[in-house]
Amino acid sequence: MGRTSLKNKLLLAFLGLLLTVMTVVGIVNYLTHNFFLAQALSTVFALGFGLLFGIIFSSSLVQRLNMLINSAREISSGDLSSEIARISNDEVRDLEDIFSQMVQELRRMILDMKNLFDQIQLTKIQLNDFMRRIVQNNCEIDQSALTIAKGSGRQSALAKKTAEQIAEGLLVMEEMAGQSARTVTRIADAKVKSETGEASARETLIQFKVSLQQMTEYAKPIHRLAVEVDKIRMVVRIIEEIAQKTDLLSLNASIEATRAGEMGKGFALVAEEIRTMAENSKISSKEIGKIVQGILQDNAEVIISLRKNQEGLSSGEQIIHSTITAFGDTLANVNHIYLEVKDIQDVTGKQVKEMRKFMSQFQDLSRLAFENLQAAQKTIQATRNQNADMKGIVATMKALNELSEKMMQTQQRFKLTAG
Amino acid sequence: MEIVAFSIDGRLYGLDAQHVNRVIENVKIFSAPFMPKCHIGLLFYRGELYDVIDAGILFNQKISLVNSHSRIILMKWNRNKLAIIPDVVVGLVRIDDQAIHQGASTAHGQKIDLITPDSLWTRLLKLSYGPGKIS
Repeated sequence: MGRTSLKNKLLLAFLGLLLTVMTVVGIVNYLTHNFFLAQALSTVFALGFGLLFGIIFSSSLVQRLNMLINSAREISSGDLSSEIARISNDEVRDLEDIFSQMVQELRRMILDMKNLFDQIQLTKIQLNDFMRRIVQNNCEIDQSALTIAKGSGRQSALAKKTAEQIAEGLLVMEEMAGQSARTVTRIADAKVKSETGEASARETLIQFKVSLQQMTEYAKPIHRLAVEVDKIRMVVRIIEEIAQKTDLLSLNASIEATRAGEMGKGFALVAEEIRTMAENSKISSKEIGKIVQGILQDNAEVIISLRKNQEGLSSGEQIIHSTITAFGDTLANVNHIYLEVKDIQDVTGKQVKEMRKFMSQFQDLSRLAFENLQAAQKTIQATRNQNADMKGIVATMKALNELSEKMMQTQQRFKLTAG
Repeated sequence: MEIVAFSIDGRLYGLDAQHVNRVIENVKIFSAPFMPKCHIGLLFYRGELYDVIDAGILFNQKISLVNSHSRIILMKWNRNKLAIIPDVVVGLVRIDDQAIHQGASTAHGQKIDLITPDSLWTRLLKLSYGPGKIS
């Protein structure tokens, strides 16, 4: 059904009235041919119809408005169960619709309020439970924060002490690193000295070989002398033998001369001279023999000394060989030690770096522990503040509860359904 | 008188030079079996055979000092021949005939016991190898 506004209704009514008047004027005029009568009749009709229409229209409008007033009155008394009848399709209908809509909204709102109240009640219960648990948790947090604060305090103290110990350890390690560097320098010096010692030992060995060769050369004339002196000794022996033979010959000559008697006296003198000569030869050869023996003995001692010297030089050569080998071994060991100490120095350097990093991290940890301590203290303070705030929240909840109860009471004044 | 002086065990002995044929050394001595200890052997000198006696052993010396260089005194008296080996042949010593009864001595005053070849022979015969007789 199309919508007809009051204005249109009135306009239609006016047009209908005008048509009626004109129709009446026309009919009367036709019938009577009296314009004035027609005019009067039409006016009467018009007035009558107008009055009738006005009464009907106004009564209808007033009735509907009264219905709305009654409904509003019922609503104001809290009865939201009444329904507004919709008759026309004009502006009043709009008003009725809006009113009805308002009532529906109001109902919904009341229902929402009720739901909200229920939710508030439920929330209150939950909130109470939460509050109770929060208070309990706060107590636990407070206790934990206290424990954390104590632990953090101890941790901070321990971290500080440990940091001091690490700093001392770092100093020791730096000292070790310095010692390692000094050791490396000393080992490098020892290496250079060992190399120098090895070179000197090699030079000494060469000199030893030269000396040994020279000694062998020097020994040759002495050996030749020994051979010559030995020959002299052989000659002396021959002379001694000759002297003995001469002595024996002179003895036999003397015996022969003795047996010859007076005739042999001259020969006896000769034999005596020969014997004396042989005796002198024997004595001389004995002296020469002694001298030669002395020379041979001295020569033998010289040869023994030379041999001993050669043996000593050979031993010295062996010793120097051993020394060179020992220097080589020492040099190899020194090189090995040098590399190992160098590695130790590198490792110690890395350790010092790592210790410094560790120290830095530990200082961070110490700072964190201190911050933890501060945070735990703040947490304690915050939980205490929260407890105080919770008390405020409880008071607010109580007030809210009172308000919700009041709202409930207000809501209960409304009647949402009929019956 | 001239004697050939020699020493045995430190003592000096003397033989009349008339009985001494030669003094030799370095000759081959051939040992003979079943002979007394003092009998060293036999030697052959210029066609003649000599018994060689170790004078030290003969004169009761305990240790023989004979060696290859020892001088050997060859004695010839009457028709006998004997060779003795003393420790040392000192040499020819001249002594006065008149002073013989006072005992012989060297120029240094050392006493010399004069012995004869016969006394040596007798000493040999007194050994325990049975009585012998010089023919």
